[in-house]
Amino acid sequence: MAIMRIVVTGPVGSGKSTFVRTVSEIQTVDTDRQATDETALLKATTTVAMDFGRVTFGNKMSLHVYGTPGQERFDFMWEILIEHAHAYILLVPGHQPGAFRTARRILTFMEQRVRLPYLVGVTHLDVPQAWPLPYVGMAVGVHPDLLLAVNATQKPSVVSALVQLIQRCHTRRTQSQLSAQEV
Amino acid sequence: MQGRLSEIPLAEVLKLLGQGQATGVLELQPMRYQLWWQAGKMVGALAPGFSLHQLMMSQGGVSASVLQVAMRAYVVAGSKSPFGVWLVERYGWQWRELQWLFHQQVVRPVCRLLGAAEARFEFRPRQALPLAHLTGLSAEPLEVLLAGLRALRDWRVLFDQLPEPASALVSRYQGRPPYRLNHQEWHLWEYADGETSLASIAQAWQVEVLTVQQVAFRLMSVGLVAELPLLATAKQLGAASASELTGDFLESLAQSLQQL
Ligand SMILES: Nc1nc2c(ncn2[C@@H]2O[C@H](COP(=O)(O)OP(=O)(O)OP(=O)(O)O)[C@@H](O)[C@H]2O)c(=O)[nH]1
Ligand SMILES: [Mg+2]
Repeated sequence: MAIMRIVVTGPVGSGKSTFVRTVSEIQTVDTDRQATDETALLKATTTVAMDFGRVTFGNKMSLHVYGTPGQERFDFMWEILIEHAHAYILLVPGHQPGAFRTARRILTFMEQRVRLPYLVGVTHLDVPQAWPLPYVGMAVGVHPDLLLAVNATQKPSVVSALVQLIQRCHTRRTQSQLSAQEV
Repeated sequence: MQGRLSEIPLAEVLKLLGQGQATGVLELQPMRYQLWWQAGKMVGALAPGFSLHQLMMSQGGVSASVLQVAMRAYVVAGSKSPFGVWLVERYGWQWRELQWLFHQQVVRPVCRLLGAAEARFEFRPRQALPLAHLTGLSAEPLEVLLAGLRALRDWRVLFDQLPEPASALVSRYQGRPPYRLNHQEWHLWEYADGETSLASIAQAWQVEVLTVQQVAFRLMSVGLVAELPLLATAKQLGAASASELTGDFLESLAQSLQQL
């Protein structure tokens, strides 16, 4: 059985748990707790450990999706998740400009620490006060080619984001093979 | 584009509008301050006490009756250029005078607003420019930002937006910065190595960490550096090798997902 592992990260309330739940064939492990302190102002529950979801095809192919905890703490949990990941997607709530800075910090951190294929998915774009997609991209500091709109509550949208990410992995893989041959 | 300045600082909003080559109006409430943009540059402002006409009368030595006559002629002529340009062409106004008015109208209030306690903002794109209230001059947002943040004395409202003492900086700009940086900014720019925390830079400089945070915020605001949170362990995280997954696997996984 070959397994691909994708990490879903992003600021509080960006839709990480929802994303994992939407695509998973299994009941996701629910580690959401009543939010305390500052987070409570934004939402009622927050993920304290991590989310895990899975999609299996036959007996030889499986996709594992891990959601990071909401509060931005780059601790051992992150290390474990990232260490085993093949790619990641950063979710940004497009209706919460207060979260853009956190998203930018996460992205800078990830770009600096790991060389993994990634995409930035902007959620909540259906909310009236959401910012236009390109401006969210600029605020987070991501290249326009790596930016896409995602609705974490809708399966086709989540699947499409995953497929694009997998295709990116494929392209990266081909490119690195080509450059290896040149050497 | 909308929000509150307590969520995202005005400096960031201005930088984004510049970067996005925005045309339209940024409105701040409750100040009723309207900042007009064209192709990513600030071209004018309308606010109680800060309109071009009010400034011309209060600070430019123009009487109400002269202004009225000039305005009427401007309207009748159906001019498509800003009022300021028209004044230069028809009435022999000096650009120098307009520059001074533009500074009062745009640059000074924006600098002051960088430290504003709280305001709601909304950007409305593609609005017709109020030509009768424009000088025809424009300002580069990043230059205004740099000057405004250097002059800012009260940083209280920006406190939550400053990079953290435990963070390092990484460079976001190749080559020589396009702005004239001051001594401290240059010095910090050289420290954008992704390793040295702001706290240890402060120690090396023998200044308060807040000073370094403020200089870092300025460099971040003009897009020269980004904040990099540091892990307790600075080790490079070894990622699972992507080659572990074959091209065939990735292709069929994508295909299978699409059939869900
Ligand atoms: N309208 C809309 N709602 C969304 C979208 N994506 C997610 N949501 C909703 O946003 C809320 C927050 O989603 P969560 O999945 O709990 O967010 P999270 O990132 O796991 O949050 P933390 O665990 O606290 O970090 C939920 O009510 C979702 O249904 C979207 O694209 N549009
Ligand atoms: Mg969650």
